[in-house]
Parts: sequence; C-alpha cells; structure tokens
Amino acid sequence: MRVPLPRFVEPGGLVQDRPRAEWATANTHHDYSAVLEAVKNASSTLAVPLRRLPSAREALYTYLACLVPIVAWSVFRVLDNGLPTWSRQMRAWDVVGVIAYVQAFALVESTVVFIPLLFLSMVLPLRWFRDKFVALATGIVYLSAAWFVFAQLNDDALRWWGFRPLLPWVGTYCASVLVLSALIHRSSGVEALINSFVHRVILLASTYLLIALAAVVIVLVRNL
Amino acid sequence: MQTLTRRDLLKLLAVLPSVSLHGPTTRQRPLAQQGDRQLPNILILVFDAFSAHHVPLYGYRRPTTPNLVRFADRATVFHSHYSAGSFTTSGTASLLTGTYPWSHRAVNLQSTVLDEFRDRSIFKLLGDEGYYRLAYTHNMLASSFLNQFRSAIDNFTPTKDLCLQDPYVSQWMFEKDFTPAIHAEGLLRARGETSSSLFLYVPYRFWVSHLKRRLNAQNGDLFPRGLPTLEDRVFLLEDAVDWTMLKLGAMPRPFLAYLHFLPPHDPYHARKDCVGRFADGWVPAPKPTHPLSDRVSEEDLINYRREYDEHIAYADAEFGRLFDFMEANGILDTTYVIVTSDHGELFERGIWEHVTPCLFEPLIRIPLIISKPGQRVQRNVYTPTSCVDILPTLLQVAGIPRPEWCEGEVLPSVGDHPAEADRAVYCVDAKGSSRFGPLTKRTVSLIRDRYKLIHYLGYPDYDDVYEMYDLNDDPEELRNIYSSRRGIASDLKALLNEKSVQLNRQV
Repeated sequence: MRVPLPRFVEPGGLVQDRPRAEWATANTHHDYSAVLEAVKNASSTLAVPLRRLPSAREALYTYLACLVPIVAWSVFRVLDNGLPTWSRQMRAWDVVGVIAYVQAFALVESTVVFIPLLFLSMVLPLRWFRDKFVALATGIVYLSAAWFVFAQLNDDALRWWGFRPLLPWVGTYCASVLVLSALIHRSSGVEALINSFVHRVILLASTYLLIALAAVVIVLVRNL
Repeated sequence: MQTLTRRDLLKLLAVLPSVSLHGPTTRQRPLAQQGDRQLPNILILVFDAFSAHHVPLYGYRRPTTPNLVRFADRATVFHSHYSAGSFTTSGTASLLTGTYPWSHRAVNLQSTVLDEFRDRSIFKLLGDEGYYRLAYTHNMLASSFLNQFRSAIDNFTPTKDLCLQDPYVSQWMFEKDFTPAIHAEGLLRARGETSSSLFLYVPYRFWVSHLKRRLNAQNGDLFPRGLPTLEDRVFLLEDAVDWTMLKLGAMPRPFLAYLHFLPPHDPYHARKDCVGRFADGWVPAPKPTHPLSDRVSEEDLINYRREYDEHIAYADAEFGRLFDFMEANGILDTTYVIVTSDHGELFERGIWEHVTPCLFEPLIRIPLIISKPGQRVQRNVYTPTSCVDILPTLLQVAGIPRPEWCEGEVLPSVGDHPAEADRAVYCVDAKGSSRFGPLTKRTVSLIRDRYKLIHYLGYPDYDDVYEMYDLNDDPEELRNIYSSRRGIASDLKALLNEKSVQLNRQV
C-alpha cells in the first residue's frame, strides 16, 4: 500500500509535495547534498507548528493579561497575610526579599501557565484557537483563576479527597472552559469584550511585569 | 547505584560495637584532649513539645517513658526546669544562646535571633575551643536560626536528609538567604491559609497529598494514624536515631551535637506498638476554661492527651534504642548527654497544643536530664532552672568563662556551682509583638521558689492581668492567689518590673 506523501510548508507559504523516499535515496547513494536538502525540508516541517503560534504582539498581550490575576493574587496574599507578619519579624530589606521571592515566583508561574496555551495554539486547528488566541487564552486563564481560587478555598478536598472524588469537579471545570470557548467562538461581542479588556489591562500588566522582573533581580542580588 | 537501605543500616549498626573495640576512630578516648585540658563530648537531644508533666519521673501517672527512667538512673534530673519560651523559636533560641527572648528577640513564630547573637551561640563558643559541631532539626522554625549560626556549625545536616518526603527547597536552594526564602515558601505552600500561588499550588497540594497518602498506606501496618509528619514533611524517628548512632561513631572528638527531633510534637502519629497503650479511661480533673483559651472541649482534650502520651511513648522507645547503643559503646563514659525539650504542651482549660499565651506549667515546664561522663547514680535538683542555663553550664564544662551577655547560671550539680535558692526564672511569649520594638503584647511568667507569677499584657479583654500560684500547695495552678498574697505578689512584681527595660526596649 502506498504511504500518503507528507505535505511541506515552505517559508514563503507555498505548499508542495515531497516524496518521503528522498531520505532513503540520499542515504543509499551518499548524496550529501540530497541529505542537506532533506534536512532543510524536515526543518521546514517545524515551521508548521511554529507558524501556528500567535504573533509576537498577540502573545505578549496575552502573556501580560495572564500575568495580572497571578500577580494580583500574590500581591493580595502578601498584603493580607504575609506583610503584617513579616514586618514584625524582619528588617525592611528582608521583607523586600520575601516579597521579591513571591513576585519572582509569580513571574515563573505566569510563564508556566502561558506555555500550555501556546501549545494548544500549535496543536489545535487554526480556527479553533489560533485565530482567536487573545480572547480564548485570556478567557481560559481568567475562568481558571476563579476555579483555582475556589479550589484553594477548599484546601481540605485537595489534601484528603484523592483523585476519584475530584473527577466530577475536574469535569465541571473542563466543561466550563468548553462553554466559554464556544461562547467566544459564537459571539463576536464576547470576543470583543475580552480583547478590549486585554487592551485596557496592558498598562497595569506592564507595571506588574516590571515589578516581577525587579523581583528576579533582587532575588539574584540577595543570593550572590 | 544501590542505596543504603534501613536493613543495611541496622546490619551496620549491629557490627559497630565490635568494630569500635578495635578502631581508634570509633572507639572514643576516655576524654578528648584540647591542649593540656580534657574536653568531653556533648550531645544535646531535644524532643520537641515534650512536657515534663507527662513524664513519670516528674510525677505523671502514665508510664510514658520507661527508657528515660532507665537513663535517669545514671543522670541528674532537674525537677523544676523551665523553657524560656512557649514555642520552638523562642525556647530553642534561648537554649542555644543562653539568653531570654527579650534579649535575643526570636519571639515570633518564624523569627530569628538579632544579628549580634550570630556569634553568641553555643556552637560558636564551643567551636572556638576546638569542638566539632553537628546540628540537625526536623523543625523548620528551629532551622531558621540554626541557619543563622551556620558559619559556626561544621555539619548542619539539611532537614530533608532524614525525611521520607520534604518538598521544601529553601534550605538548599537559597542557603545564603534562607530566612526570607523560607517565609516566601511558607506563603507559597499555604502554611495556614491560602497560597500566594494562584495556579501551581493546586497541583502541588494534590501531588504532595497524594505522595503522603501513598507513604501512609505503605506504612499503615506500622503507623496506623499515619507517619510522623509536620506540614508537608514526612519522616521516621527511627531514621533519625539510626543516623545519630552512625554519627556518634564517626564524628571527630570532641564533638557538640545538637539534635532536635520532632516527636512528640503534634500530629501525634505514634507507632503501632504505642497506639492504644494508654486507653485506660483516665480522665484528669477538669480545670476552668481560661479567658484566652480556644475553648477546646474537654472530651477532645482527653483524647488529644492520650494520643500525645502515646506519641511520647514512641519517642521514648526510640530514645531507648539510642540509649542502649550509647551504653554499649561507652559513649556515656565520654559524653555529656542532655535530654530536654524546647517547650511543653497543654491539654487543659480549653487549650490544646502550645500556640497560646497562657504559660501554665505543662506548657513551660520541660524535662532536663543530664548524664555526666561516667555518672552511675541518679541525682535530683529541685531548685528552679531555665533552658538559658544550659549554655553557661556547658561552657564551664569546656573551661570557658561565662560571657557577660549570658543570662543563665551554671546548673547546680552539673558544674561546681551550688544551687541558688532564691533564683528567679522567666518565660516569655510575645508572638504578637514586633521583635524590634517594645514587646507590647506579651505574657511573662516568673518562677521563684514555690511561687509563680504570670503577667498578661496587651490582650483584648485580658490586659494587664496578673495570676499567681503556689506551685507547692497547688501544682495544678487552680487557685489564683494574686489578690490574697499581696506581699509575695508585690515582691515578684518588683522582680518582673526589673525586666521591663529589656521587655520594652527598641532594638
């Protein structure tokens, strides 16, 4: 049975077919130029998922939007619980150090949360995710934020329930994400609303980003 | 590469006594030499939250500590020994610096000693005399200021080394900046309330809890209530004791080893052979609920007490193993062995545990049993002593004069110092105050002779209140005689007022 030929996407956007047998031919006859050509073609296959990524601007905006709930939550926790305790126990520079660790972690956490969104963009059909990346990714992160706060408020369940009893909750969470995604796909108003929110929140998020980067510097300085 | 299993370790320990007869490195010299002086080894064993009120040596009705009783047969038992703090941080800091909390200011739950005390620890002072210094703690509160003394400790073994599970990273990842890092980690890992990590905490908590449940399931036969644990750390006291035996055989002489083990601190996860040991139906006489209590029900307190006693029995069983090892290897002939605690535990007046401002006897009176090298008979000391006395006593043992800043006295019967009949000892709880300013929210207790004065300051609805008890006639502290014995009360108040400068100073 003949194996279907793969389709390669060239950097210029042209699509052409290349026979997979080219690899075998190159190896049999030690035709290194052909090997190089094959490698070039193979690398061009990487361009497929990479080209599915959102634009740099979209990615940056979404990342900054994702940063907001994460940093805001950590700032809230620092002010609510940490700071009053720390200020009784430590000198100012050490308190700055504690806050820096928390904020630096928030930066790492934002990145860890953002990477799966990029991955989704690469693996899902373009029109499912990539084409509405900003709205979908932001919507999912904010909806998830609400769910994760709910989970934290029910800490005992996380500690003692085990996997099976939590499954219905995980299922409900996944369903809510799907409903939100469908809503964004169906309603341009919802998409516009989220996009508009993202644009409005950029300035605040940029400030958070600067704070988080400064926190990383402080952590490095304290540990040198 | 194969790892050393617990079984391998036990085999190794079994042959260690025979090796020690021949090998000069493991067989101890009668007393190690330092110049022309002979310096004994020092082993300080701290069992966390170990109340003297639950030890039969001190009159407790349940036989919780048969091995400690055996050890006491050849040691000095201090019957009125007090911690200077009501929880790990302040109690341990006082033990290691020989100063009261108003001086070292490790008064908050995870605070450290003031910077000037970095060089005023037992490790630094004995290290200067050539001691090899080893420190280990299961308790992350103690690790904060042990980390401050790190430069004076030759071997500060990380907590995780003796844990089955320890997800904390600050001790090895941010060694140079440990205190801020561990505070941040505490917030990230949600010690107490919600985490500062919005997303990653949830999978973390789920994962760590899953691992903990799995470990408990694997060891359910041996530990029916779960493995010994503190927050996300899981450990076995057996591992710590095995490790101690190895270290005792291998450390350079003379050594100072400070080993701070968590049991019988809660949760009271005793080993199977101790569970149910005290299901005797004993119900202690109830005491009136204190205004500053959490109003824990009497029924709960009775159950907690029983579980605590069983956990003490577990700690004692492991101590017994260590004691036998030391006896068999002649370590007791060359070493000062000190068994004590950092604070006690309360099961009365609606109060459970030790996070309380109420400084009643079960909370602050702790065991102190010291075996001098070669001691064969039991001696008893009844005058009040404090954990701040341990540092000057050990300094005297090493021939070092008591430093000017030290607030302790040489313990009677261990050193050459006679017992001071009129000695006053103190305990301070100031968790709610800033360590840098006046300790405005605090409880201070003072014990002199048979009387004990407690002063509560800065608590809503219980501000500037005094309680006084006669510990001889009323050891259960049921009758507040502050109003009826005005003369003695004003004497003790005057003593307390002498400390107000230190309590109210800005640092």
